[in-house]
Amino acid sequence: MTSLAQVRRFRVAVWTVIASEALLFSGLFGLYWSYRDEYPRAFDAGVRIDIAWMGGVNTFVLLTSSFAIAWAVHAMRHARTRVVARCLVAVLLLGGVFLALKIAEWTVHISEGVVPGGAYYTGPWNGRGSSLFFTLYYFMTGLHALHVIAGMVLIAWVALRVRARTLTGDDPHALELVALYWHFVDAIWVFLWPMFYLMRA
Amino acid sequence: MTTHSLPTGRAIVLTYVLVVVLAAASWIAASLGTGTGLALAIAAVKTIAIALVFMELIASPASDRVIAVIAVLFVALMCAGLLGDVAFR
Repeated sequence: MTSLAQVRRFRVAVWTVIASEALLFSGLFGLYWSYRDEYPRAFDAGVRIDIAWMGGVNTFVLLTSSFAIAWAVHAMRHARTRVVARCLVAVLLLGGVFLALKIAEWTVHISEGVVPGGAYYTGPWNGRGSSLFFTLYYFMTGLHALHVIAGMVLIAWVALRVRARTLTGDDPHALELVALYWHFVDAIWVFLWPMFYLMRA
Repeated sequence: MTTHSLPTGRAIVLTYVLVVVLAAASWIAASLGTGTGLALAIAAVKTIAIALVFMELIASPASDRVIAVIAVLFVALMCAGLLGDVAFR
């Protein structure tokens, strides 16, 4: 059983990680806005090239996964282990759907010649602005996808502990902390979605 | 943690409905060409809802809230610097 003092320390540690990650992403958001101001037409064209329905579906997928893990935490506190297990499996499946759509979108872009490096081709707006937009697109969505993968590994670990009954309603803190991280990953996507899929002039 | 008043199941469900409705509104507004400001404002509201209810900041100890608030303040400071740079180029 984890003591209350230990739980407090772990929570502060996870919140500190989240704060650091928020600052990392905010630096990248800053780069995006700075270059968007400099190349507004190229960034507008970049948003139009991105596949809107995939970004939209992925948003609803991540929001639903966030709800599922919040519900898992709620169920864990009421010792409803079977519900917890189902919710965690749902989160893992939704995370898998998110990554599959992301890979599919990247594959479409790459097959159309929108690739990192010097070979970007983005139609009439081809040039430095488009290159910057897609460099940021690949880097930021890629970094976010790595966070999704890390979150899925942590959730799988928690799910295994629930199955082995080493994580129970009496000591739900590992699940609470992993859920915190997963919600943060969701919150980052909430901002990436409009930046790369919605904001057309 | 468990000594505080945690979000109820009803609050969790209502928050989910809220963020889904906001996401749909954001998508529809973008398709109507409402510009960048509204999409960002909706994203901020969604994030606040997620932080308060799903991340349980509303029921968290002061230590967690202080870290979250300081992170937001630093992000705001950086955004202000950035906007200043863009505005006076």
